[in-house]
Amino acid sequence: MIRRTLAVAIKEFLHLRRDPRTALTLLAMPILLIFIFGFALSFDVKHIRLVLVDEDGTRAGREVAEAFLRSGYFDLVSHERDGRKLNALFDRGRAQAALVVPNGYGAALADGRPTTLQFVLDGSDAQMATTILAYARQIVASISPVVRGREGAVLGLPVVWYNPELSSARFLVPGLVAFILAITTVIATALSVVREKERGTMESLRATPLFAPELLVGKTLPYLLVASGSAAGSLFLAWALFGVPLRGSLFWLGVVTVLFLAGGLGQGLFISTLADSQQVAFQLGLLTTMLPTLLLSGFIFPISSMPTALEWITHLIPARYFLVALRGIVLKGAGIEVWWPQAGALAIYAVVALAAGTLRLVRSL
Amino acid sequence: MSLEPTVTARDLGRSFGAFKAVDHVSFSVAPGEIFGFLGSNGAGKTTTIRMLCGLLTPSSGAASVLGYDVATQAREIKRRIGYMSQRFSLYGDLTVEENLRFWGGAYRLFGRALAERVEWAIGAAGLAERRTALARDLPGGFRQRLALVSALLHEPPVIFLDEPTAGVDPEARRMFWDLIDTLVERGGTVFVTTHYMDEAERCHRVALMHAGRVLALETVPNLKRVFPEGSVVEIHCPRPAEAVTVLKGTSGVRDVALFGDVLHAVLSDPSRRGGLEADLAKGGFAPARIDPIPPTLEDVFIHVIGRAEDGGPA
Repeated sequence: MIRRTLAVAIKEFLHLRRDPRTALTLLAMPILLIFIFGFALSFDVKHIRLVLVDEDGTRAGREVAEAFLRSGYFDLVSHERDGRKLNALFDRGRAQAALVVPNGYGAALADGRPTTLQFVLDGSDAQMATTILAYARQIVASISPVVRGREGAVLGLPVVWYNPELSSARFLVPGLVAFILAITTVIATALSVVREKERGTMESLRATPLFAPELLVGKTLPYLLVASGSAAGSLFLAWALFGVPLRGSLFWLGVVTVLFLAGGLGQGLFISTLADSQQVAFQLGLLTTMLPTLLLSGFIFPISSMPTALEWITHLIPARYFLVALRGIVLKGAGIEVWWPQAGALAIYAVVALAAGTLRLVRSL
Repeated sequence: MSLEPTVTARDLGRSFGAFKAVDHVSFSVAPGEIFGFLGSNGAGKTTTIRMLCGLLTPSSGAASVLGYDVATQAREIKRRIGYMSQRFSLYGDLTVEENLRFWGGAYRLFGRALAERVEWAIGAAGLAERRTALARDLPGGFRQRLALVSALLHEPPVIFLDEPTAGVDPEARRMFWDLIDTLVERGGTVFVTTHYMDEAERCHRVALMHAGRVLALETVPNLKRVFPEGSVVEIHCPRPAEAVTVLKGTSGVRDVALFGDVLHAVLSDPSRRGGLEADLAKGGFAPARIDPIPPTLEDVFIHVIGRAEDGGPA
């Protein structure tokens, strides 16, 4: 049993070796994506064009402005005495944010009365606005203790856990691992089966006494190894380049990953029964993994901010569960008591996909 | 040698929807026999062979191979038979040796037994100098022989070949058949489908298949006896293609077919030969030469199919 599975695996491995383009794609794609997502597609925002509207003109007001500039995120483009020009500056895109220090701010602080700062944002790019707002909150919080020391005035004090720098890489890398694994397992599996159909070798394979599991496990084993290698490589690169830590247990990381991979394998097998050519298999694989994983898994766009109908659909995307567990393990070091519902969902996905894929394939054989 | 037939089929049938690909076919194959299925494309040969190999469930009737039922004991059959499918059954991107090692493993050979059989196969197929060549780089004849020995690694007592030499030149075909002959000398049974007449001539018995039915099943000499002595003639004449249409309307000519630039005709009465020459001359096809020839399997095939389509007894 094991030897026959191995015979198939060796054959499949030889195919991979003879086709260095596929092997290279499987290994190089993750590295490329890490670079693209880590550097180019970074959500970290820098050089934000800030306008300071200092109606107050006191030392307290200047201190706030200095704190913003010291943070390194903001560039001062204009210093105004009042807000008359503000609209024009935003309209022309010269300003992305404005810090308004209202008249009487310094006096209020000196008297120990509560007071407010106004922060104006260009919200046309919601993603960026959210990020800028987060920076602003942090800066204000950082000066709050000083302010509070001058009696009474309480400003908001947000605290960011797990990812204090709100680094995009930390947020994106677990998603990227899920993304790579979903694509490679599903597509590689589907292609490797459809290729046999296209070549006509499937007929000869069926005439051998190989059991379906021997054939299927043997065929997918090499791809699983490559995909796991890619995943490990991605996590390593993320650590080396962006300092993304691996806080949780490797064992549990392995368990949820295997569940996710098994599901992808089943999904790939299922696709192979629908497609008669490698091209169709590739497109079906891409369509059912890349887009949902990219858009609906919470990889990039938070699920909580989706419309209800769309949010419902996300429950059908396996990467959604994998991502929660993965982020939990990698970023928070969370144990199974935290993400067991997600692990359960992945187990269901694995069982359903594998059963459906295998049954359909065996029947179509 | 046991008297138990190696392969038997009783009223075996398979439909795809309303289409009867194989329609109540019965035959049996004795051990040590080369049994041929001769028919054009779409006659139902491949469907029959796939049912016998346990790859397709029969819709009606029953068949057994080596005593195992094809519908219920497919796995037992698969372990014991060799099967060479119509389509290229090798991996082009694997070498000769890698292909053999894989197929051997799939047929449950490992370790020393596998190594020995791989060596045997390389020798038998004459591939000693090409063992590290990729299968796709082999000339057609070598590929076909590699496919055959791949199916023989586990020493099956019976082998099923589905159009094994399609698209291979006659010389390579002859070498392929020499390999099959040595197999049969050692007591192996061969079940082969083909649409090549020269291939069918090398079978002990041939079943003529047409539109899902077996129209005749005989030894090759017996098949040829459907024609009385001297009734098959070869005609050399000018413009043979036109002569075919003329002869088709001539009384006493049962069949006429063009073979290259000569005509083969089957006469209802061998004594009609002299009259035929006069008929051709009258039609402007002089000079015509008419010689009696031994019938080829193709003459038999055309004749039998013609009779079946006319609704006569097959």
